[in-house]
Amino acid sequence: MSTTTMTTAQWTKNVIKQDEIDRYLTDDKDFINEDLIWQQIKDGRDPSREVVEAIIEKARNLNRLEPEETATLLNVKDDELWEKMFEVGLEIKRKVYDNRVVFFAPMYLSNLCVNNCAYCGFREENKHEKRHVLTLDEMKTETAALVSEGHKRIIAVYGEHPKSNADYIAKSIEEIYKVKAPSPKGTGTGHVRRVNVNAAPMCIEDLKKLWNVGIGTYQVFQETYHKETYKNMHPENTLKGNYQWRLYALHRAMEAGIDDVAIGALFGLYDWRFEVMGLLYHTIDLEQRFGIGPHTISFPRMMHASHSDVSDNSEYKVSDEDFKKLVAVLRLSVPYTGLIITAREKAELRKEVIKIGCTQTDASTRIGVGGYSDKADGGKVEQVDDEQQFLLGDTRTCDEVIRELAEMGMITSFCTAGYRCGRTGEKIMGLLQECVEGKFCKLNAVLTYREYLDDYASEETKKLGEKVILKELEQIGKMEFYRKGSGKLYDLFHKLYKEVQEGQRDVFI
Amino acid sequence: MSLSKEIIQVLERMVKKFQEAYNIEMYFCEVMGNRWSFIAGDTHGYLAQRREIITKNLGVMIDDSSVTDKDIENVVKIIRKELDE
Repeated sequence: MSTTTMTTAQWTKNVIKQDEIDRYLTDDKDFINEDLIWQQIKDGRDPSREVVEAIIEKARNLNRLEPEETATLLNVKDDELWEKMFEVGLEIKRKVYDNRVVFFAPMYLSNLCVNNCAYCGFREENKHEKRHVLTLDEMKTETAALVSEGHKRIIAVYGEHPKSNADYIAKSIEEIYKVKAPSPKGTGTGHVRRVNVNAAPMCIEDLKKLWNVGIGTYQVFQETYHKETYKNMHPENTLKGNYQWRLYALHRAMEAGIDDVAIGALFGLYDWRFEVMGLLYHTIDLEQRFGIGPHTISFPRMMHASHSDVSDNSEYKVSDEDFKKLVAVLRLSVPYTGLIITAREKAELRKEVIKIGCTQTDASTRIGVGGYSDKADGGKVEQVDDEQQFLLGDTRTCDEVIRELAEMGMITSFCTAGYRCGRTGEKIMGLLQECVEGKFCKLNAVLTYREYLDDYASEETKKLGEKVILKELEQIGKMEFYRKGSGKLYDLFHKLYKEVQEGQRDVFI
Repeated sequence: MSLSKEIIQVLERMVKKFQEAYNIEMYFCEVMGNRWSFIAGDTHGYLAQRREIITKNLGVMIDDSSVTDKDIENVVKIIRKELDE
């Protein structure tokens, strides 16, 4: 065994701290009770219209649903009721988050990985995958390329490996925050204002390192909540093979002080209805223990990955029709939480599910390590199977997606104000549940949209965007909420809007 | 979270005091780089807009909709003094 292998093996052996799992168990059990979930799904069969409508009404009033209620919605067969759920989904989203869709970009910093997940192109045994860990200089170049597209919020993605351990992640967050890049039009300077992280589960001590450098949201997907499937997909002799270490990753993050956490499941590994229930139980356990649910929920569908039979042939692949349904049920079940639809999905479907109540999306997306700088250098534009975790369904630019949203009457937001103003944890939960956060969102969406239109937008997008801004300004002018306390907030917004028009950047409320 | 429970209790008491005595709403945040994480104060919705740094890792958000800049200066002074004690 070589020294390098030994080092990796030793590192791997020390990652999992059993006491940081055991402390969250109740009678030695975790919060996923599979028999109970299936029983609830079974009990919810053939619901009456009245029962379903009452549950929809409860969600419309922004109450988080109980598992029995979610299970009932999952059993709906009536197309009319599904249409109603889609409509109410958007209504809920507008109440809580207003008319904006927040943009982010994934940035892959490393694809070395000690795991062997059957559905992932980055798995250790996939010798076809080209491996790389960005150096500090490379991550600066990559960040500048990404910022040049107009992005302000990123999710940094890391494989699980000693070369991309917590120290590397913390250092990379610091470096990314430092990078400034001029806008293509020369009208302003851009930088990343919020670094969210998608990385493997860590111990509390390591999570504190990320907290200390100003991490945004910490995101860990359980992939599947079904234990047998989890075991089949993640070999037991790997770090990821430990189901409970992953299940409590976000509990540990909360203990480390990171009060913005994000959950998700990879749809297509197991029955989609079970996974929706798993996400709900995860939400409930976080709420019960910390008083705070997840900041966002993701529901990626499994896509083709390099040399992975599972990714192509799973019996649990989710159809477009069922995908829309699962998004709607999640929207109704957890009204206060952000929902993320990504560029994994094709443009047409993204457009449809945004209308069901998604709050965040990505564009200009590159998911190879160093993918943004490759493109900026005139290099690879097409997707490369052996350099990516999976293949994307939508490779449109920011400008194209923002233009489409403008055509739909929606405003794109690059706002990152919340976590820079203490609207986190319990505070954000309170604000979301009382529909106050959406009011902040509206103002900050306009300020950041103005920046985007002036610094990055094509003429065609700018033209459409101006119409959206005018409509938003008109609404803001009419809303009593902004006139409270002698209208200070309204006046402040107009002062800041004027400053942005005159070239000031990164102002927020 | 690096601030002790005792400090957080002091902050909670201050929030209550300002609310009761002067009708000023505020909440405290632990500051880590860009991140201001809520740690003490009212979790309900109001329009706190003023961000004031108290110490390297502690900030306060004050609802300035019905107070003057001078009031805010005084509030910050009082907070700093109480924390010193």
